[in-house]
Amino acid sequence: MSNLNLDDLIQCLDSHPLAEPPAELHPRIMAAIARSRPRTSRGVAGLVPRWMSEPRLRFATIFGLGLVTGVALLSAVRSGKPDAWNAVRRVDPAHVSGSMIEPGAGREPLETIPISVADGGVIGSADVYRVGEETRFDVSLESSEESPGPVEWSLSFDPAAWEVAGVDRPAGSDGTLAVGPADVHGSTTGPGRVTVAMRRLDAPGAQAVVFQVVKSGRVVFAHTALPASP
Amino acid sequence: MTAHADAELVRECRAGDPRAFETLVRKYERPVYNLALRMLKDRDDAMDVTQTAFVKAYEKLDSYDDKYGFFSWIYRIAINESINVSKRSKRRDEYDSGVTVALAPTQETDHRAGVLSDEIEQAIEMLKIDYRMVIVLKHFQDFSYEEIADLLRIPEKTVKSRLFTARQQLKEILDARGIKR
Repeated sequence: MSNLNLDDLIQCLDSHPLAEPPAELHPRIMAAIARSRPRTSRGVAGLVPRWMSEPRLRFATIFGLGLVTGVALLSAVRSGKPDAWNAVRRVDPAHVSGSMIEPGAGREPLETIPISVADGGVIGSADVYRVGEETRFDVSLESSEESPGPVEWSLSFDPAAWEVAGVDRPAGSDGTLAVGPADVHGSTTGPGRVTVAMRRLDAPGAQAVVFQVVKSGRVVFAHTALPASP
Repeated sequence: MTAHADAELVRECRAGDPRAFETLVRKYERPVYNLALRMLKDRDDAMDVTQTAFVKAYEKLDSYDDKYGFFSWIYRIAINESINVSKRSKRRDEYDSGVTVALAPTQETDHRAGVLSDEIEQAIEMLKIDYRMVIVLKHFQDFSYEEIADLLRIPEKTVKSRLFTARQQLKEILDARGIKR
């Protein structure tokens, strides 16, 4: 055997196959996109008054806004209300348990998403309904007997395109539940069921709603739902 | 044709159709992920870079100039992100030969070729980032000299010279490791 020559090397390099991306990559990208917003110059132009184009006034305005923001943040810290920084709206389970109507109001689901996890750690499903102007996600989840432990889930969306109209958890469901500016998320250990009602806003934005299930810190299931506008 | 189709998808996305951008993601996530994977040799870093590249592209869609083609644009973002991650992690200096990325072998690839393939991947990882980049773009992504020059914003002559040096260094590393054909 002799040393590799350059031709052999180039041949080897050129014969490398492309790797297949992990299955969770696409939903992960779409979830991140759903949380972000395109910054269009049109949108910015509409928000910036004409006099802001004058450099000295623009500098003074930015400096003034920075000062005001700084003072406001300092006040928030001193008054011991760091929650003001946290845009997540916590939902008290007592206020939502067993309170809402039937998820589909007797209708057939638009889509049923079976939650299938290869190692059998999580079982459940999510049904998507359209009721009037609302799109409702009815999520049922629990850990399998072979793999006990909490199951986390989230529905991520573009806040420019969607708003949460309500959440409901039937009596007997356990776990946590929180509504954030761009997602609704929760966790459950035993059988957990929650219904999230969302409304499409009359504004451009990502239509996708990304449903993810996390077990032991790992995304084990992801699905991008694209419910058509009502 | 592809560039026209991409430009049309970007236009639709700007007009408020989010499905158009998802089509672009589906079209390019695999090559972008592979670029990052070859550059960083870490599955999680490659996923992070791919995600960041698409999110940045989405957020800056209005500044995109379609005369360059969406593919070049997303690639350039991914290249810059990969370089940033590579510099931050300094993983190149801490190379561990046990860290290899499992690739599905082609039908023609026999065991011997697989071993050689692993050795070459490890050798590539030892190259400086500028040299690694041209090897990845030329041999794994199949770009022309002109396209690489455009992506990296360097003269075509520099691409050729870097590629020549990179191949020579690869050969030296493999020779030093006693890799035979």
